Amino acid sequence: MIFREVEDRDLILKAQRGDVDAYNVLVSRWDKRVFAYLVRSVGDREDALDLAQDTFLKAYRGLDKLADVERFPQWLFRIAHNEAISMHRRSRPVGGEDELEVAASRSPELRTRAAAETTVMVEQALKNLPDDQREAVELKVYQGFKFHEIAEITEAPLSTVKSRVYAGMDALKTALAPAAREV
Amino acid sequence: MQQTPYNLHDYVLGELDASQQAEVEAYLADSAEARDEVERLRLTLTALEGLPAEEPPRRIAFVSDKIFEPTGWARLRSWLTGGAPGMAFGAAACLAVLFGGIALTEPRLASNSDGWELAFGAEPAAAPTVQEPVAQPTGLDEAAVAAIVAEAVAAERTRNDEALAALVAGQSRETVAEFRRALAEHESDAEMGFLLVQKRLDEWQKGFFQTAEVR
Repeated sequence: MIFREVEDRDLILKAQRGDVDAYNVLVSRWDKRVFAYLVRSVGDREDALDLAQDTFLKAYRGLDKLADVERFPQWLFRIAHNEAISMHRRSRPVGGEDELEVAASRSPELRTRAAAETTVMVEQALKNLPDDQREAVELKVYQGFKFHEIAEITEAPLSTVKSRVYAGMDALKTALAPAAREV
Repeated sequence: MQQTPYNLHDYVLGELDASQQAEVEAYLADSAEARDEVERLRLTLTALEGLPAEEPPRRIAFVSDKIFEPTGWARLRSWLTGGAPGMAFGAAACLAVLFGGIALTEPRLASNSDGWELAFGAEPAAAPTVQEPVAQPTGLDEAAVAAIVAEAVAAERTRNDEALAALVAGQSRETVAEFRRALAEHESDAEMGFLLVQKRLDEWQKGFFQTAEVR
């Protein structure tokens, strides 16, 4: 049997007409990406989940304003971006938890201590970046957006986005040099 | 260090098109330093990509309020913007908005054991089953609002049923009339055909007998 996957644009058009089921499918396709982006933006999983829910709710409410359905990803992440920057960032306790245990328990893939250590190192390196650089790297590396799309999401000039990504990557390159050699 | 018109970050991060990549690769072939830099950036990228994906602890899902199914907010909007199909519901929804306040038709998220869901209506008081939300508009009598909405919806449903029945009846009348017209035309054609055949048969018969008489 041949399945033809329903395109996002069809789901968006249906959702714009009030089809909640279509919107649910759309959410199920995007919630992981939006959540992952928000986790790294705000640094807290519970906050990120709240923001992800708010993002999808706002997206639903504003869906009729989305004229070009092909731009849904940028539009959705722009909402998420605005949600993140409008939130008061919580200060997380330093050293309060064993981050290795947290990292290992969060992912069954991290079965070895070495893998968990690498994960913690990468996460720490990302956390140490300035917010704007971390967000630019996240949108580029993990979400796969082009520079001009990141500019649209973050409402920043293209040259600024490039500078943020370059600076972020250079800082990560330095911080992760030992880990990168082991990869 | 860089002597290409393109940034090596752009190359590693896939921002260049094929011809630009080819230019950078030609440059890399001549520059060990640039090759080292590209290698370091690639290793960094690989380390970043090795980070496990963050999974949401709960699914995010949405439902609509049963009271307003299958139409809901979009139908109201459609009606307000001139869409004919939602007109009947639009009238009911407008009444609901008029008497119950805009909170009655606002989409919202609600949590249950399965996660989060979107509903239309005011937030229920405690641990609701989202499939059966209880509207509690602030400052309004809940029972009175519910009665008004139920009455408006019932009236609209009745009007819809009547309109549908009238439409079906009208279409049925038209269909029967059309069928009769077609049948009459068919009968007329058939009669003409029969007369024609009869005439030809008579002519043939007449010719046959004339021939026989001559013989």
